[in-house]
Amino acid sequence: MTDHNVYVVDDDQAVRDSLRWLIESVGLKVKTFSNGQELLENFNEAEISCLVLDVRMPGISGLDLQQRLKNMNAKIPVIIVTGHADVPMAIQAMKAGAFDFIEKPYSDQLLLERIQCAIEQDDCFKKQQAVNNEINERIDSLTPREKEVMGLVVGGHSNKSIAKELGVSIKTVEVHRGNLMSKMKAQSLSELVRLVMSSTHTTNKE
Amino acid sequence: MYRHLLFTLLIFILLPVSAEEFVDDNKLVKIGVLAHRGNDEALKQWTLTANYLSDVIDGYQFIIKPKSLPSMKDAVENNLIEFILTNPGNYVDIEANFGATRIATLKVKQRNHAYTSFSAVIFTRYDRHDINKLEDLRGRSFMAVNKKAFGGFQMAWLEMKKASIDPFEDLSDLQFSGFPQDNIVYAVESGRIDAGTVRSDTLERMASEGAISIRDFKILNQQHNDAFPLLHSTRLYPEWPFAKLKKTNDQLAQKVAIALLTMDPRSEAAVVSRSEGWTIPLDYTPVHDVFKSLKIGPYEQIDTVTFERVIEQYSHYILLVIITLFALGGIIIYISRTNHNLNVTQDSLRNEIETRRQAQSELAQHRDTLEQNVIKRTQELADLNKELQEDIIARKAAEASLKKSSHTLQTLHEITSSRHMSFEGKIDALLRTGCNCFNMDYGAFLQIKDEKLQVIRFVGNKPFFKRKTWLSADSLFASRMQLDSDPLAINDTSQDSELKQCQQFTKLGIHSYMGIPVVVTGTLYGYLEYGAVSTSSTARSLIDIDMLQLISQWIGGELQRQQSQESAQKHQADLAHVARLGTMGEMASGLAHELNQPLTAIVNYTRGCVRRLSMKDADMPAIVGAMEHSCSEAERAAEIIRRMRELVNKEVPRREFNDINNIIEVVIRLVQPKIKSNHVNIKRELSQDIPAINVDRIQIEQVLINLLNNAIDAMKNTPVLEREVIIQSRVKDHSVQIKVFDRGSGLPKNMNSDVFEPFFSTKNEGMGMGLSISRSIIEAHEGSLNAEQRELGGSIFSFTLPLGSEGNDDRP
Repeated sequence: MTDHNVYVVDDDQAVRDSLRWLIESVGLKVKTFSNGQELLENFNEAEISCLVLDVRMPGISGLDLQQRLKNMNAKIPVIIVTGHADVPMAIQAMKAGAFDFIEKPYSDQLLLERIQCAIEQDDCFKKQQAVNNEINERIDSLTPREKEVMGLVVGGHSNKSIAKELGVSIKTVEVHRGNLMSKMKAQSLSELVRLVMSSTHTTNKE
Repeated sequence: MYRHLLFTLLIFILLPVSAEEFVDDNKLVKIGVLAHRGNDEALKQWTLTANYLSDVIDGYQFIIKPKSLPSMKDAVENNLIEFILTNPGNYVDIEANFGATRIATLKVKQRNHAYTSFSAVIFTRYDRHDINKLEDLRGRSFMAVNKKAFGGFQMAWLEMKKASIDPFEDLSDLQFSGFPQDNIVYAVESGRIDAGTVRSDTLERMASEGAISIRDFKILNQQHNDAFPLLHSTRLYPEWPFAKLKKTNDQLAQKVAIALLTMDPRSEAAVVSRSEGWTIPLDYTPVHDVFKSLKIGPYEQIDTVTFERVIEQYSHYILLVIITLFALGGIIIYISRTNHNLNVTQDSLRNEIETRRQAQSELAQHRDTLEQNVIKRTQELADLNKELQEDIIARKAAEASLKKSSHTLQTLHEITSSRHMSFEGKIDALLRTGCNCFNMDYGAFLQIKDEKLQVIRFVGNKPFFKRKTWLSADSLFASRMQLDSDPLAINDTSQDSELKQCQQFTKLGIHSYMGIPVVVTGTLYGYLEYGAVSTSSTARSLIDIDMLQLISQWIGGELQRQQSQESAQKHQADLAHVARLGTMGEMASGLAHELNQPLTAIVNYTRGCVRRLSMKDADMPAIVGAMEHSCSEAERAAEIIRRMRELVNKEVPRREFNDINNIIEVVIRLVQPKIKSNHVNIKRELSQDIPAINVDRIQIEQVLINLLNNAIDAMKNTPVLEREVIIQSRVKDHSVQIKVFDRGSGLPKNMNSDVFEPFFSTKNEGMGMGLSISRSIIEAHEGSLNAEQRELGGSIFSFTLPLGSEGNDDRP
């Protein structure tokens, strides 16, 4: 829990410092920035778990900053904080993938709760990403022939039909199949299917 | 010769550049190697040799640069390499053209035998019984590697030439395959080509690699030499040289030569390069001989002297001679023409001299008559002069008086246009100037206030009266000076029956007097007067009276200007106040944001404190600090509210009956600077039959200013010539309708109603409150404000104000 960093961007020093005071009271680490440029210069996606952003700032506005992070393909939950929220602004922020949109002055309960949720989501995402990386690594370790066999196995073909398809003996298919199961660390066919599916799912998503 | 000169020149031009490059490359030495079997092969064969050189020679790193024949020439010409390792033909070419010097010759190893010379082999298929000697090649197809390849073609060419065959004329087909030479062997083997030539050892090498069998080929013009057991058809030529280029450092070349000569024949570098190392450089004159007899390479120029060649080579000189001849001819023609023209001119000059002589004698006669006339005229002029002198005396007197008045005028101008004097200072200066000009003892400026006169400014050599003295009007001659009175000028007051009674004059002993009314905006403001104890001897001149009028008019004008400026300032202040009220709404939203900041901070601080305090080990000093911060934020909020209160000043708007067209004109005048700077053309379409309407003038002006400003701002991107705003006023359905048309960007799509919302703005600056406030004002007047898209681009903003509505003043 203590490894989680919350970034706060607000041009008002009092708001910035008081937010740090508030958020640190629940044991989170806080880094503050007075403007978007400063954040972009010190941005470290691995470190940050949640970004609290004021809309109205000189220079890069909160919404612009959110858009820029999105363009950088940074997947961190962003909580937009604003003095006078209006619907189009909220829609714009949500469309750009904001995690939440909170109006000032807000209740500390709400803000801290949303920050916790954002951090959980970020954790979940980062874990999932690690798992996917692991699966992709396993798939990368397969030989081209093993990949071919895996595709057919997952596609529901029997060893016999695979052998026919690839023009090799059933024995050879069995050897390939054994190798790829151990390389993919799959105990059963259904587990293999799940691994392949989750990997293709995220690949498509990206 | 020309080419040599050019190359030398080029080398000189490139010299400093390449020298620097050499230093920059950190003593990197590049060896250009002819890649006759492809770049990879060349690198494989020679890289170890380069490494060997790098190891043996301190401070230099040698690298191999594989080159084709053309790129080799290019590299040498541009000084891209320091050494070359190439075939003898290429070397001789470079030696002759660019001044290369061989430093070693390669000992080529072929089947456990080292050769320092090589040859070419001309061959055909074994089963070609029709081709047995070189002469038989006439009319056959032939293949070589490259026209410029020495072992690959030129050696064979010389042999063919000896056999009276010109390969370019007498063969049925001459093909150049390019490297590697193996292609030629395959082409002959397959029968595609009748015969071919390759470097010696190519056949043996291919046979040892198993690619061909020597028995399948027949060698033409075969030579035999015990020291050179390889198949060959030509004489022997020295092997590949390692050469330094002209620019390459001699000491470095020496070190390289020593290193090459001392290279171990069994070393890996030698083995890989298929050699037994290097030997002292051989004589390359046989190669030169080949080139000479073939008239190729550096000897390309040596040829029989033909007419065409002379033309081609000396065309510059020939052209020069022809141009010179033409020029000479031209000059001769020009000279003879000029000569002829000179003769003609001489004749006409002679004629002219004759005519001149005649004219001169005529002139002499005229001169005599003229002399007599002059005497007569001189007498007449003397008479006239006398009259003139009398005239001048009279004029001088007039001039003196003019000078005086001009001087006075100058002084007046200086005073009135001075930037350093105050208005009062200027009046004093004017009074003093008047005293001097009119010969008076005092000057005064008096103001009428409540039937009395007050001395505003006084200037004089005696204190006749003090400033701010009140004078009784009836005791004066005021009755004689009305609004449109002429200036009064009295030489002697004692002679005036009325003024004799006047206490002022009797008491002060003033006898000479001048006075004039000062009129401001059509009403009598006061008087300007001058007086003197002595009587004036002569009557006041018209100039004096004019001067007096000038001074009074200037003072009147200046007072009027001051008054109107004050009223304009007041109007401006009124407007600013409405703008302030108008921005109240805008301020309210700004206030909300500004207050939100400290409130948010306070909430954060206190909540943070509460959370920490509810924990066991609360860090008390930190909490106290946070509470301090919280307090100062609360003070910041209070400060914001105080600032806001100062801005708001309660005042109830007033309604009066106003002429709407007049309001429009006033607004146009107010916005004029912006209209001008944006080059906008304002067109008025004002109906003249609109009754006065009961409105708050300032507020309606504010609305119109808003609409005009918006219209002008909307046309920022409109071409200057099309920027036009139409203001229309008319009566429609018991109300007055005002329309403002612009040619701007129009309304944002589907947002016709949004434009009146607070915070709506298409401008980067501004909060988007203008139209929202305008609508509140118009609605408070029971009218309506609308926006619509103009068909031909732009927008129309219009508002209505009800006619004859008896406005109730207790409206908010």
